Amino acid sequence: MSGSKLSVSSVRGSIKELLADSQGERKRNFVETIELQIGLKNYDPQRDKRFSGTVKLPNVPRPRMSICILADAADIDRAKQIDLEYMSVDDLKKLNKNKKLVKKLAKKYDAFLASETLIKQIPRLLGPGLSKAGKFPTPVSHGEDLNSKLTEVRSTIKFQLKKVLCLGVAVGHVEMTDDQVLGNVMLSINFLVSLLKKNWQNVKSLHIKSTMGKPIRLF
Amino acid sequence: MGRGILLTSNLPQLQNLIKRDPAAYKEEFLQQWNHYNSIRQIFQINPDEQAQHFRELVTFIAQVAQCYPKETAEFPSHLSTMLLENYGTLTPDTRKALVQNLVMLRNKDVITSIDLLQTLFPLLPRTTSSSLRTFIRKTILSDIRTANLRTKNHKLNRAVQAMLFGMVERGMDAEVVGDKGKLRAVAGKQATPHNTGEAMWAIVLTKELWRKGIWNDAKSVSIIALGCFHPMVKVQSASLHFFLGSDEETEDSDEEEEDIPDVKALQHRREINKKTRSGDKKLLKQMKSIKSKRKKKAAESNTPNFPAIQLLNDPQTFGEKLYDVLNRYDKRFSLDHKILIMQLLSRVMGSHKLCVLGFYTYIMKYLTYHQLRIPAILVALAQSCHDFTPPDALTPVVRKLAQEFVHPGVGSEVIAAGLNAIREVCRRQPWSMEEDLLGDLVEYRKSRDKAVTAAARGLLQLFRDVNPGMLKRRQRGKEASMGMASGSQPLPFGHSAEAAVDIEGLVLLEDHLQKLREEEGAGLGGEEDDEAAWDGWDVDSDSDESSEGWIDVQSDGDSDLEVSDSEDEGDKHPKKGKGKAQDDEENPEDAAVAEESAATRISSLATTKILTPADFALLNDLRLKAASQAVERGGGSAAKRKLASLEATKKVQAQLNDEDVFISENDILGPRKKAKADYAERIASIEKGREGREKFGSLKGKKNKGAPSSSTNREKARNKPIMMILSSGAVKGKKKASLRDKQRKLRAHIDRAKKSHH
Repeated sequence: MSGSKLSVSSVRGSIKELLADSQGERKRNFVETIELQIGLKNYDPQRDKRFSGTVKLPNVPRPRMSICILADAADIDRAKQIDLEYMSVDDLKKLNKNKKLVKKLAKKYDAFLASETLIKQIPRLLGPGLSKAGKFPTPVSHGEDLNSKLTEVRSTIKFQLKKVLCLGVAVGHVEMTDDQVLGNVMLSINFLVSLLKKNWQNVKSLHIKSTMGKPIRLF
Repeated sequence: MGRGILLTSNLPQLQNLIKRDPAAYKEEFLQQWNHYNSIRQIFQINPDEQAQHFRELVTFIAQVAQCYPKETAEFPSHLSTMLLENYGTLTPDTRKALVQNLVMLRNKDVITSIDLLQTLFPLLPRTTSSSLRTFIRKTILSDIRTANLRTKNHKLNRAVQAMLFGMVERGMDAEVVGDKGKLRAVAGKQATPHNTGEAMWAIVLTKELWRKGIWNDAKSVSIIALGCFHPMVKVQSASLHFFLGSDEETEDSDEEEEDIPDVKALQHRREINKKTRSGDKKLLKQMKSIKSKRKKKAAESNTPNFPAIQLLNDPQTFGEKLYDVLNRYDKRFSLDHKILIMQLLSRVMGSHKLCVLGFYTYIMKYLTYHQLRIPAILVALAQSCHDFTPPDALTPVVRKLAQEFVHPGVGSEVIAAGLNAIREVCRRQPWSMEEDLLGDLVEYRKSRDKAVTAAARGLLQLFRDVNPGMLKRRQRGKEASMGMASGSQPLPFGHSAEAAVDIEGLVLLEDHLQKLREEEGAGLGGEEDDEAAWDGWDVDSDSDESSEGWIDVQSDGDSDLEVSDSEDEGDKHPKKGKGKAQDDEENPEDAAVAEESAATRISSLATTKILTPADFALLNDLRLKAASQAVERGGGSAAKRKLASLEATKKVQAQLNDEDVFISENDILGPRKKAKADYAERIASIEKGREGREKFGSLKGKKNKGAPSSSTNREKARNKPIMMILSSGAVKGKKKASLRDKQRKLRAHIDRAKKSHH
């Protein structure tokens, strides 16, 4: 039906507009994030399946995402080398499954990593707090390079439909070039549409928006 | 006759006059109003006196209340306080009259719905008359429905929901009584019916409003969620049934069954009746409608209340509390009730991925094969597992299952149920299985019972898919061992599947598009004319594709132009996968080779082009084609399953989404041989066959007559077979008689005939 409404050139145009706006006279004192906002239609979140999907973007959208590693002894050393924040098993035991503390921990960081040896104990150590916040740690084995794992986590975005018919994901920041943003935006749009049951027929609207800027309608 | 006399004795007439001209008859009204007030005083002291007159007066004032809003401002509150405070002393007639008048005031918009409902709700549990109860219930429901008809009336809903919540909450601090053992008998006598009734009504009304779709928000769910912990078992089970969605189907199943005609009868009739084309068509149509009806019914009846479970506020606490109730009052609840709680708990755990680890140790004691209703318990166990359940909590459970259910000392259906339950647990959490145990279990695939073999094979197949490393070498199968050889590892605990890098099957689309491009741009070919080739292709494809009708022309043109555009810039900003795409374009001969590695390659299409609806349709077709090719090439069952799922999504986009979360008892029991019917069943089926038919046997004699009796000798003689008669002495004697005798007989006959005529 309305696929014809969205062309790459128009997307590029809107991205350029957005970048110009946020880097011109309205430049803020921080790096604004670019968000893709999606409105869905013909979808009943109560009846239909709620989809969720993760996709790795070609360019890291959130380089400043704060990450913490729940580490065993070997990983603590590695984390220290690259200045990554870490928590050891003893630190976790100190939380004592206290819901408030776990919640606080979950709030403090955007994502978690965990040593492979530890991951099995996480539900026992921390209770359901982390998975409730949607921040269940990503396992990392001793063989993997921590840095590359970090970029992977940082460039992975997750589409998850909750109770309402709209979603938003961070797809970039304003210091990226428009081509980088374009690549990210297009991959996320395509991936999202492929997740939907009726593809484009389920999409009501698409907007991109920088943190402090105006939303710009793509579709 | 004076006017006043007439009026006081004739209220309906006064009512009529007032309605025509309220201002003129104000004095008469005030007179009646004072009269009403004084009678009300008397009435409060002695309700039996003048009850009839009081009712008439109340009806009169209610009728004209809207004409004198100022004077009658307190009238509604009079009625409601009287109902609420003196309910016990009022006569049934008076109660009914008061309620009806209140409803009338609401209909005339003198009071708001909230005022009305505030009076009606407390009355519901207190009324003893069923007709008044149904009247109140209907009024409440219709009132809320009309308020929400056009748009949701949030204000009213919030007020009513708060009221209902309070009704449930009020009884919460009582002691849990349970429905088993001595305590119940004691408690049954002294239970306060008031409180339970209130909570029960709150639950019933909320359920009804939910079922009708009037309320579908989290608030109403939270009312019923609170009801799950109510001390009275009746309230609890009503709330549990709501979440399990089990009581709705029973209600409307009877209605629908009548609608669906019998297929066999229709087909049979087709064979007997005259064969016409229109008849064939009619049959076809009927069959189609029957099929769709069946499907709809199946979909409706078997869905647990999925949205309600999703809307639960703080599912973790809910689950923990539910487990607490289950564990603490284990001795007080009957088994059926405990199973209800287990089922709800397991569904909540499964759909919200909760860990209530105590549940697994609790359920262990029920895992014996002679436990009543064990299939339901196994279902609950399997549903509660998910990929975040710690394997070390599940391993003992799986081991216990194997020890209790899967050994030669029990019946084959027990083994099948055990194997199926283990499979369902392992499907959700593969790491709960141990290697040597799996080896033993898989050996059951050589059993002689069909259900057992099927179950064991299911288990084997599952582990071929998820973790072939646990199986013995020989059992892995071709696909799995090839997969293992190529180094694919099962997903360790806690790992979510790798983030997708692009859309599944996108490479296929890219190849397809490229092939099209080659075919059409072949004449121009060459790297130097790249730009020209793009242009040429662009034009060509425009015309071509519009005639084919599967790609949206305009957008395609745009985006393809754009692709070339971005590739020009691609040199400056090299992107992941870009180089590869260019390689492909440079050596089109390599397309075949590229197709080989298609599965592992990353397509750049998704980052350079907005996929149109047509593209997605094409993509689905291509994936379907690829999947069917994989099956033809002899791929394993995984390939077949993928094909089937793709085909399913293509055919009907709808699917049973909770299929993988919720299972039924039949999944655990597996395919069963039909058991031989016992005596009672045989007799029952015989009796059923006899229904509505006449008794077999000869219709001669008794049955045809008015008064049944045995047949007479005359009747028997008349119906005697002719051959027997022919050789009888009587007939033979006539034939052999002499001529003289015959003549004499004839003469006598003629004489008799003559005599009788005259």
